[in-house]
Amino acid sequence: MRNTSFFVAAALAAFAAGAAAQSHSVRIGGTYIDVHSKADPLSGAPVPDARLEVGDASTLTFSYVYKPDDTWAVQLALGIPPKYKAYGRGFLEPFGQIASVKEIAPTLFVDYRFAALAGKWRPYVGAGINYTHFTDLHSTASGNAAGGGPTTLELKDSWGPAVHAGVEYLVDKHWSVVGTISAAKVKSDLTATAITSSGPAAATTTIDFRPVTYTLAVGYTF
Amino acid sequence: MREIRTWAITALTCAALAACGGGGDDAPPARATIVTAVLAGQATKAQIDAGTQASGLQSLSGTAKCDVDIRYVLYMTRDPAGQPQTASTGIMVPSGTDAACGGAGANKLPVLLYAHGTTTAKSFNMADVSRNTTTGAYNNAAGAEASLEMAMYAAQGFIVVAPNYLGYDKSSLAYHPYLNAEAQAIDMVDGLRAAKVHLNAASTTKPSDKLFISGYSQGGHVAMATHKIIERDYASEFTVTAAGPMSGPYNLVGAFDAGLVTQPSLGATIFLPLTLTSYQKAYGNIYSKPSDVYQSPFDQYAETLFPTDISLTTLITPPNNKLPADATFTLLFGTGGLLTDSFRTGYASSNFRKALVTNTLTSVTDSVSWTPKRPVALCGGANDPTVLWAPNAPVAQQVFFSLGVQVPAFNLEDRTSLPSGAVGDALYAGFQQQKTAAGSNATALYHGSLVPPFCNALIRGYFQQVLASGL
Repeated sequence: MRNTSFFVAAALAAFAAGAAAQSHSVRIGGTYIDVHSKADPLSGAPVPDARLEVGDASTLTFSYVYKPDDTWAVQLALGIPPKYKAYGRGFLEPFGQIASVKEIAPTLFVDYRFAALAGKWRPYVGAGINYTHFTDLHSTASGNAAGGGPTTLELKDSWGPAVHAGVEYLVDKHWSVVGTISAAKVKSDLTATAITSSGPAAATTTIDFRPVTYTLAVGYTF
Repeated sequence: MREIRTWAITALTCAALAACGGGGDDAPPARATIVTAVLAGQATKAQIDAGTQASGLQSLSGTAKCDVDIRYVLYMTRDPAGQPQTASTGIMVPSGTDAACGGAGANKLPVLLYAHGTTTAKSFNMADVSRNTTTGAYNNAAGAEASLEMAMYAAQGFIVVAPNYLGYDKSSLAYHPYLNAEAQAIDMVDGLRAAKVHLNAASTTKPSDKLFISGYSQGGHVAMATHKIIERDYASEFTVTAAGPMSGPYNLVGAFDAGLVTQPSLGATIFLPLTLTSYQKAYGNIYSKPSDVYQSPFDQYAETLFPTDISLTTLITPPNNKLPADATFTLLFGTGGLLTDSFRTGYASSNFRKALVTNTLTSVTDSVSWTPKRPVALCGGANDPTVLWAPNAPVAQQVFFSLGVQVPAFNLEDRTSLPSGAVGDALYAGFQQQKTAAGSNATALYHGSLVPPFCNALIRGYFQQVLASGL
């Protein structure tokens, strides 16, 4: 939470600094989320080496960008919650897809834009904070079989730093095309509780999602 | 501006397609997908012979020709709702240089797909051949049955595939689809598939395409159902060479008509909860609430009681009261009984009886039949107090005969039904001798202990005859 306060303060500072040539933009685009998840074997599972891996996802993303001047920007990125599939690994590999989950993951960035390069190109780098809330989390029928009975899943919310870099091409006064690569720290504790014939059995692990996202968007500035 | 609009539309279309790409969940793993497979143990000829000598089985089994590898496979199958579930199977694999044992991989061996009898023991595992600790008359651990099949078949050159069934051992299903003909056949087929894939990948001894199916008691029903359903649904994948169901309720509805209403059979208070739960889960219309069929306090436990690793002795001992306090397991009705009187009086027109008909394989009264394409022999004893002989094997024989298929029904109480000559003489005399030796325990031991070795010997002889004749 301390990080949040810092970034909000930085954003406000940026707002104040550039009151002269400010602008607002909205962007919409397609995002591919390349997940490089890492997780220790499930602790408490009745079998050794019960692991999982989260697959890639894609979604439609939106962002709002406030530019106090041509150098700084504050960006809030959101998306239609993408659906991730989790696959069994190790002992769980034969079960295939064992779970699925959607995430709501707003990310707030402060960007530095290399305006000095001028022309129609605006490369930028930014840093910020990501909040991820998991929703629609469920075990598949195969996941239930892997768990030894109907299984409920719980993933804790995640806060973490995020960075991105991109380039905006200014087509005209209003329209632009933007390509961005970003990465965020998304780490969450998973608890899987199976209702087995001999009672509930819980297993836990921590998933480090390690997402790298690629976005191509169209922006409109007003 | 036009370009940018085209750009925007293209980007949006791509994005929308990408967003929709998440779609539904993946299909579950295919049936018979192997989750894990291990070599669980080995038994040498000397160890097997020591066991059969000590138990007295050797006169029926013969001395071992083969050492035996014990393998274990956990595989994916489907439950009655069509959902993916895990189930496991034991596999007993002959090994050695003797040609009958595969000649160190030189020749493939026939497979016996074996269906075990009723057990309440959750951890029951046919790969656990040495586990023979039985607690309570009907709480049979797998050791006795597994070691019998190992000595009778695996040590004589048959690969034995013995599924533990959904609901047992490491299975993910919380109940057992007891006496559900279709569901149990699917589990048996998947166990067989997984076992053959595992052996072809990991064992020196490989399976041939000769397939024998046998089973005892509940497993007799499972064996006949599996034979029927393989010939109906899996003919392009497997050809049954011959089947030999033993002491099974092939006429399931007839067996329950007699063993429930007329005179509860030994074990009835175990069979009823297993069957009621199985059909309630499969069909959903057996009762609205457990107290419709179970008396208090059993209505609180019976639905989810089995399988369990709590011994039957404990379950019936007050103050546990999980089952009626009756060591013969026959106290179905009346004071302290398991079931309500309304269940008994409504039985004839109940959905429970309809479910029994659905899972009946052969019945004259209820007109249920099927026509085996490959040889079948039945075996049992006419004085069986647990699975009655009269409504089952003779009725199956009659039904098959009416369809033009002659099926021997070996009745250990009837010399004329057994093979002619010295072998038949010895089996008949040996069985009568065992009954005499059991004395007053003969009734209690009849179904679970006395009949199995003799019927296994008879059915094995029948299978060997089919093999030798090249039928």
